[in-house]
Amino acid sequence: MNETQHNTDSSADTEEKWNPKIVAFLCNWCSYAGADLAGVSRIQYPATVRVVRVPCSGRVNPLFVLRALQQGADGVLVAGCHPGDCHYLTGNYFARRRFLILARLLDFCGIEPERVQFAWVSASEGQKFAELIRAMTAEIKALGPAQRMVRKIALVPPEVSQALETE
Amino acid sequence: MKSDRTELQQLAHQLLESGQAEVVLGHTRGSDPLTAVPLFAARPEQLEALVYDFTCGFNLARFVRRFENRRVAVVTKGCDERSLIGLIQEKQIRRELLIVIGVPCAGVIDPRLVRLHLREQVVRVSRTGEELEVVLASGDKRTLPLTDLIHRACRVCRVRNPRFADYLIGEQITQPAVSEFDPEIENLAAASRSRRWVQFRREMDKCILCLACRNVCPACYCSTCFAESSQPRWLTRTSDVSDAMFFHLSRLMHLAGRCTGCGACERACPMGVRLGLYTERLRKDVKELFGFEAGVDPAVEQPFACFRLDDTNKVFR
Repeated sequence: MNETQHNTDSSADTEEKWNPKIVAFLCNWCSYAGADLAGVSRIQYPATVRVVRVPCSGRVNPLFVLRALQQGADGVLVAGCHPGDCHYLTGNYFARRRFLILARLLDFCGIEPERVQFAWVSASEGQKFAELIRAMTAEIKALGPAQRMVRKIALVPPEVSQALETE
Repeated sequence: MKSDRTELQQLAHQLLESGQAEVVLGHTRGSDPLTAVPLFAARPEQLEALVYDFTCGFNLARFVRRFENRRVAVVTKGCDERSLIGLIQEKQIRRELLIVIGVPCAGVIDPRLVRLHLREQVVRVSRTGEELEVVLASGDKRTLPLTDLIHRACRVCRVRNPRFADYLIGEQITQPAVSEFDPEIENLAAASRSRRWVQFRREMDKCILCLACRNVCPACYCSTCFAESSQPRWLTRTSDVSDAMFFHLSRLMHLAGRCTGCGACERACPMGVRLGLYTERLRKDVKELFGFEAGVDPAVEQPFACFRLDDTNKVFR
């Protein structure tokens, strides 16, 4: 079990080409709106993030994060309204406690903390959202593609999926 | 810790015959002399098999919930009592229907440690003072110091005597000064991330997803466990190690703030997965971050059922 990063063997060329896949759970009222503002304002940031819109950061089940990691996400972001500004008043307070514990547990197990990150982003913080994605992308690029919790065994055997495709 | 069979059996008889209890939950000999199994006694003649000793590591709080409206008497160690308090707090069992038969406990043995020392099938065990006399299948006899064989969770136990027992069997045990949490957790936390990953990976590689840990846990009582849910299908039980990781990390998140550290899960695991490392880490985190210990004070709200406005924003950018 070594920690060789993805890039040590490959050429600089491949390193440039690989981009992390970041799954972001964004709360509808603040962080998703913030991301939307970044888009509308045409602020440039890496196209690495895949957004899942949830009503509230409190809706985000820690199992979502684990699932994303298992299915090959190189990074996961959970973002919500700033404490005190939750549209549902208290959802983000519960999320705050929950994800603090999750972060510490993952770190204790050796999952890189740069891969699972949390942020408060308000609806007006388009710039902050872009900065956040830029920073996360850079941090995760340095780590290389996710390997630790990724499922390696295909759920559908290749022979079966190929057969299904040709039907 | 004495083997108080007679006193316990007498009390159990009295409770059943007087109608104070409809069921007595205790322990009895199973096929493995190192591990007692649960006993459900509804009739006095079933109490002949009732035992209590250092092989009784099962957490009987696990079964109380299924006896919904019946009066149940439970043989309760200090750790079991914490689980009972947790269940009462979560409104899963009613205190007024419960009769707590408290048993002071100096620790249960870890069958794995015994087998590590002996590597042969054990036919009979008995205790003499601070030593364990073991009779092997070959007929050989060995003597091992009891302290070497006590389960890891019991070494940091701070509840040797049940605090809310309705009846107490035997004498109270002096509570030795023990470190609050297993020092091994500190060591692992201080180690490099690579080392921590290797440890986690090694433990998860052993896991066969038999779910015994979940089956024995008093805090795991969901009627449809996430592990068996098909919509959504959280867990795919393949031989891929990520499945074991997903299961354990998820279960740990469900246990956060609720796990009392009884160690029953670790004792139940057929593969020797060191679950205690992770449950202990969670307990320590919950204590440090929220000042909460599961099953200690039923008046204190559980940490993930509440929040404070001034909770730390650590980890949030």
